[in-house]
Amino acid sequence: MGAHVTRRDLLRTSLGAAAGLALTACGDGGPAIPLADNAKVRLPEYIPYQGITPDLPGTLEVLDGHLHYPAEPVTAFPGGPPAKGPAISIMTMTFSPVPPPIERNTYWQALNRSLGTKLRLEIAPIADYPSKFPVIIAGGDLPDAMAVRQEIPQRPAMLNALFQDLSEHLSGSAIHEYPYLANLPTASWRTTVYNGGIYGLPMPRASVGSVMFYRADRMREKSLDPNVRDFREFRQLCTELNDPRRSRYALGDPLTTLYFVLEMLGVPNQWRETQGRFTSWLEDERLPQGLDAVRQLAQAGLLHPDAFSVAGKFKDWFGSGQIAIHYDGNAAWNDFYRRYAQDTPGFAIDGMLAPGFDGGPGTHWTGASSFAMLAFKKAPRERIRQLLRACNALAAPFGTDAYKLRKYGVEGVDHELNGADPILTPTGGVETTVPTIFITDSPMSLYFPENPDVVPAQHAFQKRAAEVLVRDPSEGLYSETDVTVGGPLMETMRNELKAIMQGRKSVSSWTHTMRSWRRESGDRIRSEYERYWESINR
Amino acid sequence: MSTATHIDIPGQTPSSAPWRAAKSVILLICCLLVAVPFFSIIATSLADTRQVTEAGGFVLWPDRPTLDAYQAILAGGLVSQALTVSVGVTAVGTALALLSSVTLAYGLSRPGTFGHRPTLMILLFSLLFTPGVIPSYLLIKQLGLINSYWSLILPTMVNAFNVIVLRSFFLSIPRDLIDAARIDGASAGQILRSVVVPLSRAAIAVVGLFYAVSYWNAFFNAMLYMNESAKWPMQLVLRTYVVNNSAIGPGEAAVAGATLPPSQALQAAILVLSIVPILIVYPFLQRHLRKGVMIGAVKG
Repeated sequence: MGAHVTRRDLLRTSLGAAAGLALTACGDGGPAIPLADNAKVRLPEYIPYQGITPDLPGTLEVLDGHLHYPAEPVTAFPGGPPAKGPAISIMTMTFSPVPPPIERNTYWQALNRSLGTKLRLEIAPIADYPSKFPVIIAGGDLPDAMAVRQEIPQRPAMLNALFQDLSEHLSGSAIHEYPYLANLPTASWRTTVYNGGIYGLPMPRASVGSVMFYRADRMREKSLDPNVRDFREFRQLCTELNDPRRSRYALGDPLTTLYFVLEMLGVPNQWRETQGRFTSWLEDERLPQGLDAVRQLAQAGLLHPDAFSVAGKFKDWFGSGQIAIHYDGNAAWNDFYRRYAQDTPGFAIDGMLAPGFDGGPGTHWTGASSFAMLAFKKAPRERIRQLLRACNALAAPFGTDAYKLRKYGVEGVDHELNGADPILTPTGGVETTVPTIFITDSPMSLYFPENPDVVPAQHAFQKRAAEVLVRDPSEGLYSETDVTVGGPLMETMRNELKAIMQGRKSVSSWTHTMRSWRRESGDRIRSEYERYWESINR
Repeated sequence: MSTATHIDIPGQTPSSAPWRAAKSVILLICCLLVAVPFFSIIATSLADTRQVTEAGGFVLWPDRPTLDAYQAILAGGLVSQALTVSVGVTAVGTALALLSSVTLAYGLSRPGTFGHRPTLMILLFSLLFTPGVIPSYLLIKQLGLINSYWSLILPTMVNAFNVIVLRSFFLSIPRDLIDAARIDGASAGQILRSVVVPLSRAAIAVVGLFYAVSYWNAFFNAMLYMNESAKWPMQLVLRTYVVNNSAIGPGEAAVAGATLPPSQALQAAILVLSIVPILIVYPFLQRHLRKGVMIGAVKG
């Protein structure tokens, strides 16, 4: 056993547990800081990385496309490892299987050597992170940095009490010292502003974060045109793809199908802001029309028979051809080819953009600019600088040797070169699951070393989607009610939406459901967002 | 299989052949309901990517058996290490839990033991009011047990329900036997070792299995207390694979990843690995279990 324990320790521990919650967890949060202070925060200057010319140049909304990795990657840190110093502990999450421990992980060891320090990661599965986070906060003994997700309540007070304001290191031109962090889009930094300061580093994600995928091979097989011009044509396309006798259906997840139809209708992305007044997508007058449209698709048998009863199977249904159209994250594009192309000759997918419901252009909802943020425990200035240098290295962009190491590991162990392109080996696939993308990251880029021919299609989709992007105006704002009760309430709303689409409830019942949402907390969430918006915009 | 012979049980009317056949069919269906998912898990773990995806994740017979899923999860050694951790925690935890529970239950079964009543009250109190997650975490932290295997063993070492089960059994042992041993000069420890424990093997086996299964299945404490994945037990590793099955939404997907077997095959392979040790132990305890489950069954 570790420490020597006296009876007094035991007594103090057991009796002080409850009190410790209040005292240790939040400490003295200090006086409330006016929201208006957030308006005064100078965000880091945006200095795009110019060290490499992409094959398919992007914009702020469109990701750069790269057909091949540079044969001579740029040396990210000519002066040697940038973050020399004591080990750095970081608590973060993962979607992937857990990586092998550092002692048996060549990739992790090489990453540490390149940084000049030892990264000690406390990794929790993504679903367990919300359970673990408050416990660690209550324990008081924080790691050097922690991923702070959007679901964490009392965020401003917690950040003020326990975490470092990084403004003096990052604000405005101060970011020049960390050029790879300066390469992160400004929109992603907005999500890190609290208490009149910059309280973390973003984990940037693509503006065009989602794609309505379709199986291009099945379209070709049936000589169908995926470029539908309105909902009627979309429905016709689905009908022609549907083949229930062979257990082949057009669509899977009813909810994402609804989102796609709402994009056709121009329904707001979460919220619409008009002169400081917020309207939720749940109250939009076009939502019942969208529900009715998906209900018709379901009644026509165009959705997989299990679509309303299962979760987490849609990806496999799409990959195996059981459904032909599927809404997913942008990064799933490469993943589909990796997982399914091997066993399906001619496997091909592409992205479909929502047309206007009755013709004309539709819209495309942006994803979150940042997945979460990485906050630093309060520490002396030099320690904070070391942490920032390490994170700057973890944000080294495509084309650098540091990026290649971070994503593809060590040559000969984690990847083999095909020309200049690193192809992950099975060992690499396991070792590189160290979740650096949930610490911070460079801006995403379109690159698929196993199949570069896919990249132009990805880039073309991004360009088309960027023209009709609709942002979520609540991003970067904070509503305590939304954080605490918004999640479970939204789950209830999703169930109601599904009940209507499945035909278990009438479309007209939505008005009542929406009113109860407003009563329960919708109106409170709205007013909190409006108050926040006003404080920083007026 | 030996030929079944019909035995007349007094007071019971012999059932007709069709009814016996119907009962056999019902029992067969029940057996299949248990066996098919079990077999399917093994089959899925051995099936290749194509078959798993075509079958929607539920394979009954692997057409082209492959060990890819096992190779993938054993690469890097995390699963094998997690198995070692689980076996170690379960073995040490169960042994210590049995030692503490048997001695505590024996003490509580002897009226007149020092502090008998307050101890029993404290035990019953812990049955009704369990500590919350955060107080438990603070206690473990103050004890310096974060990232220590003891944090997986100590918090669940004494289970009030199991102690009460053992105490009930010890109370049913004839007092005369214990008095006789005392007259022969045996100490309390000797009585426990030489009289009580040998007579209570069935109860101890059942409680031992309860402890072993709870140690084997526990993942939450490891998630809270173990910072290094190298020290994770099997169930937490299994959970990360299960969680990994969640659909990837907009903007939250990972970037790189090699071609792994389908997630259902990986989950099935870990499930198989995680149940094998308990399956190995079970036949050795079965003899005691049959007696053990009858504890208290005919008590008024």
